[in-house]
Amino acid sequence: MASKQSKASKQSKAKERQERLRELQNQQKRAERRRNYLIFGGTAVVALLIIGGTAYGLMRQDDSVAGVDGVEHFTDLSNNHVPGDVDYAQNPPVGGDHNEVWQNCGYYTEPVENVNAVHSLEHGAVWITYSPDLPDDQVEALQSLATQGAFVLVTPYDDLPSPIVVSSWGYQLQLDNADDSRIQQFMDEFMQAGDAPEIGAPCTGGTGTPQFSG
Amino acid sequence: MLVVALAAAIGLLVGYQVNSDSGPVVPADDSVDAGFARDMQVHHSQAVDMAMIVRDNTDDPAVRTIAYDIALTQRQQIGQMYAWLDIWGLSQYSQNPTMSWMSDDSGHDMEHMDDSEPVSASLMPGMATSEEMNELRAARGQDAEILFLQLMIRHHMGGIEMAQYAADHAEVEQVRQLAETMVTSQTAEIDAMNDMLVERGAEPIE
Repeated sequence: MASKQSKASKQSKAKERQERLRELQNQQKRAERRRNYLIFGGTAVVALLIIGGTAYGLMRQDDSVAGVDGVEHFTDLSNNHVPGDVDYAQNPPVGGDHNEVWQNCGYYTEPVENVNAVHSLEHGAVWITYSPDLPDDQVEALQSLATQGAFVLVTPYDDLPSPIVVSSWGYQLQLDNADDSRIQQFMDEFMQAGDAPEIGAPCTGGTGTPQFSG
Repeated sequence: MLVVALAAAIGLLVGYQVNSDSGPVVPADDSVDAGFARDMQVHHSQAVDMAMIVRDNTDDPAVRTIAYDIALTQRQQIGQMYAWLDIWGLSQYSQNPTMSWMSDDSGHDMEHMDDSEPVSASLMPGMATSEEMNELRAARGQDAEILFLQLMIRHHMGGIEMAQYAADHAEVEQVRQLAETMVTSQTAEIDAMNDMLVERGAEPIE
């Protein structure tokens, strides 16, 4: 009897232990699942934050490039110092090889050399070129822009594709009228910004004496 | 992994909170800070230009030394102001009119502007006209030294006026500090340049 009791007791204890073990295992599984959810969830949140942040940054960048209607973007521009003339792919040039001396920023009544102006673009200048037959009041409006910053070059230019063309290193915008608000938008976007390889370099101390500077 | 993920998430949230509560001030596009950072870069770049020109046009060690000092100091300060705008997410150029950040414009020194120039030529206080810059380019020896000293003293006086306004009104501590530095150092340089003018038998110009 005693032995039978003991056997039953042993059996029930074993059963208890098994149940307890199962319970523990279940608890462990639940805890593991919880932990997995947290890890996965936490990682997902972080990943989403990173992806979202990057996407936001990229979108902002994209917006800023597309922010000015009609701007063309040119890449793979070389920037070596070379003597003499250079054949440029764009008219007026938006970058490429250039003379070792840059064109001083400001307003000019006579055309300047491409090879010098391109060096100014490399330094972050915005180059506003206007057709020599542009009406005087419009030329005056462009001239006033040259006084507003140290990195604006305004020059007449023969055989432009439109009455006014505004360029910075790698970017260009064709315009019909000096009243077009996109000129200021372009300057806002690309003066000492954009793709210019040597931002921080000066637009003074080069060649040329503009009528107005600074 | 869990800890890292949670820490990163919390870190981002906390960072955001700190930034939005007590983090660095980001001035607005039309703030004194942004206006000063833009216009003083232009103002400084003319001073650098004048200093580089006179170093080419005279052998006098005293003038060449102060010109070297001014050029490199102001070039470095241009870099600081450029970087502020970059960090604030603001453009270097602004459609706001030059000097509009200084609401008190009574001190604008427009007297030296040539009447033949269009009114739109918005010269900042103390800046040289393009004619004056051309004169400096053409001058040699003591003529160049005297003209440089005269133009730079006036340039510094205008610069101090702008910097003092920023030192008094800017939101960002670093902006006020640099502006204060400009006032102090340019005041001392004016004294030095006045002495150099006297040594050369010349006087300051208005």
